[in-house]
Amino acid sequence: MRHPDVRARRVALIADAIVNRLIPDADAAVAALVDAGFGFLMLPPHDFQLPSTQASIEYIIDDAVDYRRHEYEVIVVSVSALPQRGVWADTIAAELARRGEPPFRELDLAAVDERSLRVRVR
Amino acid sequence: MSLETVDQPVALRPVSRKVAFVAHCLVNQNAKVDEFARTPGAVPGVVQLLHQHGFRISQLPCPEMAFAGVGRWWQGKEMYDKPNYRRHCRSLAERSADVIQQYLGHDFDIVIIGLDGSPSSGVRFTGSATDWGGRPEFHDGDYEVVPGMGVWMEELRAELQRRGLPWPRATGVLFDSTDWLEQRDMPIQMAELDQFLAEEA
Repeated sequence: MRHPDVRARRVALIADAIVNRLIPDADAAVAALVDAGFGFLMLPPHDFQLPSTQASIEYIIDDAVDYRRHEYEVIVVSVSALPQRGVWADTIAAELARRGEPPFRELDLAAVDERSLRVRVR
Repeated sequence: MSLETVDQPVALRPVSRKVAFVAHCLVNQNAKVDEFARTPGAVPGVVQLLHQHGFRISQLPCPEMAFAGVGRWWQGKEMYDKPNYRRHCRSLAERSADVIQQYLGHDFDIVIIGLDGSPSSGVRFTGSATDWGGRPEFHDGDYEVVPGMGVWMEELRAELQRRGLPWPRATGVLFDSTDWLEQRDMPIQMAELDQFLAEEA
């Protein structure tokens, strides 16, 4: 007998600053994404670099690429007001390029209010 | 509100000095093996509950995703309990321990929230399937939730011990039961997590 599996197959690479409420309206953004069925791949905090941070991001991109290859929707949810848009944007781009993978669709919360976010992730 | 770094990383500023290191799949049910996702994406209410108790959130990696991807077969702890999987978990644990060590060095209260019943991320309970192997063939009742830690949590604890760091207060949310009923089990698990988070260090 198969067990029910209710995953929405939607994944958001998301800035730590959003999940941890370091930007205005973060709670509403998180709620909108959860309501839309997104699971989160949290990037390390944008200003908290350790020697192992690069390797941690590589693993996150490995996961994201695997999801996309299995036809999950993968997006990046960033904040352009933050360094590296809060998501280590250059590292993500380099890791995707190294794998020959195209970029993910990106939503910039600095340019999106809650209502339009809900429309765009519906 | 300035978002720029002033004198130290934002994540280390003493707003609440509480950090929860959470099992990857609590905020991303897509990482679950097929048929074990209990909610569409992030578990609704988990992020809010952690914030209500003053915790910032740090998502642990999912060692099973990194090892075998989202299309992996079901496995019990016995099948993951192999040297190369443990080496993989140790490699991930070194990176997670780097972050935990930073927070401990700044006197943060750390908790670990695992995923009970998981062969990797269980804290209080893991999953045993002693008869699995060979051609995949699964029967209800093959997979048992048994007391004990998953392989990933064992390796994370061992890495902290190697560094002379304490194993933080830890619990697990029991999502990997084989008789899961959302209406019955979700409120129980969230209430237990709420109670755990309310306890003082």
